Amino acid sequence: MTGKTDAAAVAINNARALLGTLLASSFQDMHVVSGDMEIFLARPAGGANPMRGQAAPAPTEAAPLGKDTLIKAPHVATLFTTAALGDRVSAGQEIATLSVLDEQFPLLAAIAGTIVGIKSAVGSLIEFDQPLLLLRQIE
Amino acid sequence: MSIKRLFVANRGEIALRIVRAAQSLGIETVLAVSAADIDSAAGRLADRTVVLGPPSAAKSYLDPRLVVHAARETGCDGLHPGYGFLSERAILPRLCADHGIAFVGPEPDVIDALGDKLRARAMAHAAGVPLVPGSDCVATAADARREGDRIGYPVLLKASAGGGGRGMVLANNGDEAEAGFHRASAEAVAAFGDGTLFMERFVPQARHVEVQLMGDGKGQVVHFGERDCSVQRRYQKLVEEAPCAAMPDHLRAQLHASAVALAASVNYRNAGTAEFLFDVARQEFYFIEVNARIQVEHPVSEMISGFDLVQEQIRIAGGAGLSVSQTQVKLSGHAIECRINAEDVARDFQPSPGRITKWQPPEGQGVRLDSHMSAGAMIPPFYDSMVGKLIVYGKDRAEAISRLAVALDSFVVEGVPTTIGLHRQIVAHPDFIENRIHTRWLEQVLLPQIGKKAA
Repeated sequence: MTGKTDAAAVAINNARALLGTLLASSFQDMHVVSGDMEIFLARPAGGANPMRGQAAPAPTEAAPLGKDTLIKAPHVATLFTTAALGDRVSAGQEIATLSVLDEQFPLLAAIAGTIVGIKSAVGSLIEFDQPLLLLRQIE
Repeated sequence: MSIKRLFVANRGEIALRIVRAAQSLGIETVLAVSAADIDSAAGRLADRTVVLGPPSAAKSYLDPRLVVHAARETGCDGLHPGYGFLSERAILPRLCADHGIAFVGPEPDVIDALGDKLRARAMAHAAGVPLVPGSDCVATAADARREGDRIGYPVLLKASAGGGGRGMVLANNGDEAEAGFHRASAEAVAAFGDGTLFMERFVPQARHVEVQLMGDGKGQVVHFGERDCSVQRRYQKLVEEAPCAAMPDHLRAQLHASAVALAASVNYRNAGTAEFLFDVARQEFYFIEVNARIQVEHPVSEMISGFDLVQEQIRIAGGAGLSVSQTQVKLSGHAIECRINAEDVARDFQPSPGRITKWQPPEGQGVRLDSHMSAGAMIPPFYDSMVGKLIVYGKDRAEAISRLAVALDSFVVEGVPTTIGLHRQIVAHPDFIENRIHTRWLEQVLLPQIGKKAA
């Protein structure tokens, strides 16, 4: 993932958490402005989106598609195994095994590619969002 | 045997409080954080932080397997759950036990038993703790009148199968009990398909009182006096004080004895709080529930006892016995705590996360602030909105109130709306000063008055 998609991942995580907060509350809508993030969520009976009608931001340049995808830890875990450097994997294939309290589960490749980097040591404690592997997309 | 490295499975002011308590005992700390809390006051003070997961609490603070895995893999031999989150989920101490980590709290079976309202009531009854007077099932209108006469009015008729207030009718006398029986029973049939009713005494103006307990897990229990938490909004406490100045000494002694007897009957281990309804008009108290954790408002008990409850929690979890006997617990003076939330009172207490731009906390004699905030600190929107607890101590309630008023006046927070202004109004109100409050006072008296003034 490039820096751009990192920000997107953060935004998606934030939006998910806010949606959970809204659904657990009695609020009809929720408008959160935090740093450069602004999110409006509403139930059918909620208010109008305050972000509508504001000046549209200038279009930004499309982020160049990175050929290399950084695979990061989805949560804290121990890195149990990883694919080897140079391994070719297809989409949906296991590229690492994570372990939480001695229970293992696979981490799958979202796209086909070649492992071109190993960023964390097998056997170590990995934290959320920590880089694990670098996957180069096969053209 | 004592804990060498403590995992702190919480956030906000209580995480900071626990880290400080551990450090005072010479214990290392590892703090669990979500991605939203990587930069926090507790994180800067802890020896290490571990990022569990994304901001969503369900995928970070509320996942017991992730929490215990992180604790085990960072070499922690103890885990403090704080309050909220997983603190009263028996799965957490069970997982800790499976992996050789001392849990700072009660046994999981005790947490389960106390978390079940019916079992907790049965345990309280067995320990001789007074419960709200009530009836078994009532089958006819005549039964309802007879039971109402026995219990004393006003009474609530409630559906056995009920919940959420449906099938619930208030009766102020025998005639209303008879009429109410038919109405409540019909409502219960319509709502739940079961017209079975029972009755319970209704206390229109009750105080919420609670006893701070600490047990060694072997039957020894000491108390640190009671707290009065009657200033509430929608069952959320806003102001807590110790002691309950409205309670006469003979009743206070009974209250403490009841709470200690209940905790001792289950060999309660670590900190807990027994909560009661105090019927001021009748001068009686009734058991509500036990909270099997350290509570938000524990500082007021610390202020009147001069005793650090969180340090004691950590010592007991490490295998130590109680460090004080009941006769060594000396209670004196009066303490009041205000929970300061980032909420917009004018907009129905809407949580208002954001960045603190100015943070000027009060100082002075008898003033304590438990907070993780500072200028530039961020209040993430994903969790509760508490920014701190202002606690004051005085030789008596009047002195505590006057110190609290001064402290609130000099407390400046900018960047987000807070409840400081509401606390100023509470503390200045004659009902509060003269201690005429009850659990519905804020909603029935103060908030309507504020609304009128604003209109």
